Amino acid sequence: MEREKIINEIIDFVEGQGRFSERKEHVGMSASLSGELFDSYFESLDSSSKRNVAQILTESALGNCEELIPHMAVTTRLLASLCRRYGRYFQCGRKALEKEFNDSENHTRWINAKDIGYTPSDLSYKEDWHYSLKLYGILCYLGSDATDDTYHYLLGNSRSHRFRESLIRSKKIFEEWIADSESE
Amino acid sequence: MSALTIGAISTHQQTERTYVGLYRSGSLNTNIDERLSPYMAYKLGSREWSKQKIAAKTKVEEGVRESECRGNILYHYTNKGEAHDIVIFKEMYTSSPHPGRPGGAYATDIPPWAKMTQQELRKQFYFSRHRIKSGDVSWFVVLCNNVEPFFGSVGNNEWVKEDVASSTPVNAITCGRNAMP
Repeated sequence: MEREKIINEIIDFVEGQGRFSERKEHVGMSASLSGELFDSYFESLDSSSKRNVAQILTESALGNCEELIPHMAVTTRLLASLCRRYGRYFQCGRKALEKEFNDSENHTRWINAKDIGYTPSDLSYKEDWHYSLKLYGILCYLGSDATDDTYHYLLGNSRSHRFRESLIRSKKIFEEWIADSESE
Repeated sequence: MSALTIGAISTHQQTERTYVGLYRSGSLNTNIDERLSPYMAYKLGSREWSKQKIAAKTKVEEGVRESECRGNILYHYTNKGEAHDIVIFKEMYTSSPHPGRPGGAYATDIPPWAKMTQQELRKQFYFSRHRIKSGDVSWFVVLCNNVEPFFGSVGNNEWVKEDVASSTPVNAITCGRNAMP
């Protein structure tokens, strides 16, 4: 599938339009299930298109897809959920995501990041600690073994108590997810 | 058609009443608990449902203790995968504005051990007829409402963190299975 078409589909999901117009029906508490709409779309694609979607979402998560920069928070969230369910299609982007997560300049930004209650809609999103938390979760879902050093560095040095606590909670819940999945 | 439907409901209710009567009179082996459907377990107030309630309560208390969240707890109900994602990524997809209701992240103060069914929960918080039938609320997420901008009460046990963006940060501390049948 063409790059431009995929980008437009992703924007349609974010905006709740086109094939994803049903997203507007996900009102109230059901909104958290709206990611299922993109899951169904992703499932309907052939393998080659799935890999293309994976590549574009990974680029977007790294801030390298200009058209999607205003939607980075949502596309990174989308990437995260898709990695949980369809990890094998997203392995191609793992190294680049590890590099971003383990970048020392990023570490300096993240340990000094303040708590903010909204989501920036530009590249400054990459400076928010929520961004690093997402990278961490995505890499866990992808089975990366290159997260430990950064995890402990962030846990030991971050100024935000909430960030430190979030790292601990994320790790714990991820481990519960794995244990639960293995027992099923 | 309506007579048939009424007949079917009536037969079902009769069976259910008989079953409840036998259980309460002690004529049924209490070990049957583990084979009860969640709905029957709930109707009977059985040990199985009590176990599910205790498990949910323990999960909440443990999360609250470990996270140092002192009170101000809200709950969001969703499916298993999304529940984990909300806690791992500390972010939720938001609802579009709906007549009389703002856009944002929705939660409630009704705990997962409350005496209500998942169907009743969906009726109260989904607002869309289609979604009420099909939505999955089998898992709960515990949200600590201690981070600005706060979730605000809009009445009817409903809380909203208003946000026009498609996703919003939340302080989610743990998740578990919803004890409601």
